[in-house]
Amino acid sequence: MIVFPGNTRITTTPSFPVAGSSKVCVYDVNDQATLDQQCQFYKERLCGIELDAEKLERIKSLANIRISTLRICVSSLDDLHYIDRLIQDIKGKNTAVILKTGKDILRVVNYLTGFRIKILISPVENEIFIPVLDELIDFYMHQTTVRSPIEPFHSILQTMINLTRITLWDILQEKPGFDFYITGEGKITLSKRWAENGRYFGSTNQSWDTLRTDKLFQKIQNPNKLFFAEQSECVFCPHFTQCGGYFKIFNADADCKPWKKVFATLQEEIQNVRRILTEYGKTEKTAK
Amino acid sequence: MEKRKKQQNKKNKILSIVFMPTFSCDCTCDYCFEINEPVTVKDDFWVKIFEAFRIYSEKAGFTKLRFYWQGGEILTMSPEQVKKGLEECTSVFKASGIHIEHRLQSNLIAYSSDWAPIVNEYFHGHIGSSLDFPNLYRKTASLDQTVFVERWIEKKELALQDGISVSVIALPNNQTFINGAESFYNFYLNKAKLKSIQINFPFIPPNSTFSNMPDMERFAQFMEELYGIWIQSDRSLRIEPFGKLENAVFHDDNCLTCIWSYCCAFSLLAIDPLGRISQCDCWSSSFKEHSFGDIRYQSIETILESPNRKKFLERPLKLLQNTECGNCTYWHLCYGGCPTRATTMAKNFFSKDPYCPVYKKYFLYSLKT
Repeated sequence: MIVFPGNTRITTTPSFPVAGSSKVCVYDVNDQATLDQQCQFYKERLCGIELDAEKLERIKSLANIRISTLRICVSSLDDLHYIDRLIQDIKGKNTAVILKTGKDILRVVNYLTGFRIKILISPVENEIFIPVLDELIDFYMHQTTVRSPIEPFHSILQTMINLTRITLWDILQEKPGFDFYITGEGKITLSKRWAENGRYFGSTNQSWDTLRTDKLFQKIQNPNKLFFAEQSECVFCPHFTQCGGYFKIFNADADCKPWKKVFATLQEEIQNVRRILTEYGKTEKTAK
Repeated sequence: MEKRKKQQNKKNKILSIVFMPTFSCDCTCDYCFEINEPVTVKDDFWVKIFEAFRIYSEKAGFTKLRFYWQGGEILTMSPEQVKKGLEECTSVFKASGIHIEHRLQSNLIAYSSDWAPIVNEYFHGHIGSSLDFPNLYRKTASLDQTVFVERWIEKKELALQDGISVSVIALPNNQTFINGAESFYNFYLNKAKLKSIQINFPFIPPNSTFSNMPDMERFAQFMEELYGIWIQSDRSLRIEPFGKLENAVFHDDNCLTCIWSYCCAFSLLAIDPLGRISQCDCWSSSFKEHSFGDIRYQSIETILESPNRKKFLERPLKLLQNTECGNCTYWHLCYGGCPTRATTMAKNFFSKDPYCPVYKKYFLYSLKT
């Protein structure tokens, strides 16, 4: 059975317990008993629990659960009903909702941000989110009373104003060498996205030493290097600093135009804010 | 200091209780939504009430309870009666570790200096009262609307001399809008000499002949004008909800008035002199069919499982899912507003607050400013 080094974050199911001292996120938690058992088993190592909203119906209370992040997958406006039942417990925790729907988007984000719940959308779910990207960006940038982050916009914005030096790989928990994802069959890869694309490093019955010599694992340790070596068009893109080639890692022809627009919009918003601040500064000086 | 207080409040789990130890009142205001009956909490019932709240709060993990003493009219009781209640409360919660706060709401007409020691000791030396400008509806059997205002000011001055501060809730009416925001502002600042007022939005009491509801458009315009005056005057008179909205938007303080909370049922309930529990004083005497239960026969924990309370818990999400509220820019500021106003004015508990156009115009203007 594999034992990951301590400085790693493993996303796994309850069926594949992770030994060692690495941080662990558990997905597919289906009921209160499993939730309690996972919290008991991992204790401080548990950095997150991920579950579908409808599974909350089988959870009696979250009040006494100590987890650093609760990630709830929401697939429809009706799913909010499950969250609302436990909202008193949920709002006090570090909760993130992984959106799986673009329908009724404003109602859904209004509800979640009202409780300061962080929202996460996957940039590769093109069919779901491209039609609502403009609406989402506008909500995130201009809704005066919104206090919770909508990701990946929020972290991209932070990178752009030089508060952090991270790319989409970090934001979306696909940091090579740090993030690992164990599938329901015990296969190991970087993330759910990588599993869905059939790319694996190995499986849980291998040793860490074997896994880390895997060719794919070695190849993606430095995605930047990979893109430069392949002379990918990404390295000439003005948004490479924030994106890191995230969209084209599996397919060089993948369409990332809608997200280029997102990057450009956020950049433009920053310029606007800077201009306003400069002008405000001038006005202040004149007034004095 | 203020920041520390806010952080502490965030850590605290607070339950607010509208506490009505009496239905008796010395006023006969036209728009009152409460029944005026000579029903007052019995001497041996105080402990039962506070015990019920202690047991529930300990189970539910509340760290702080705020009792808002109101009626009826508290000052129709004797100071000795009220003091007994307050002492019983202190005694019941003494070893619980739960912090208790008392607030007092009174029309002030029966105020005398006999009340000063109690108000200073238990109610932080403060009384929340009510006064409209112009006063069209507040009166007693012997004081008409004009004399009522004069008497109220006299009583407020007396309270002030006793070291007690007074703030008011003001319900604007159509004449308020005709007179204009400036005269409204000047009345409270210069004539009533107040430091703090809260504007409430009137509603039609059920089974009442009162029907003089404010014109929404003029109300919205009034709020806008008043907000402008307030800003220009450097906020010298504290006006709510103006201050709270600014705190919510600029200082990240999530504590808006109850009508603009996500769900008032999360942290507010009311209890009457007989021990019946309902959502708030608006529901207590006017809508008995919406009562949650009675502490004489049930624990508060059981009472709060009532289907009547469930409706309050479900309302905000239903509004978000099924009405225009869900797509509204100001969802985070009002969450569909007050269920009492929806029920009494729009005749539909699951509809948005009919003051929506007033709120929206005010929110827009306030945020722009």
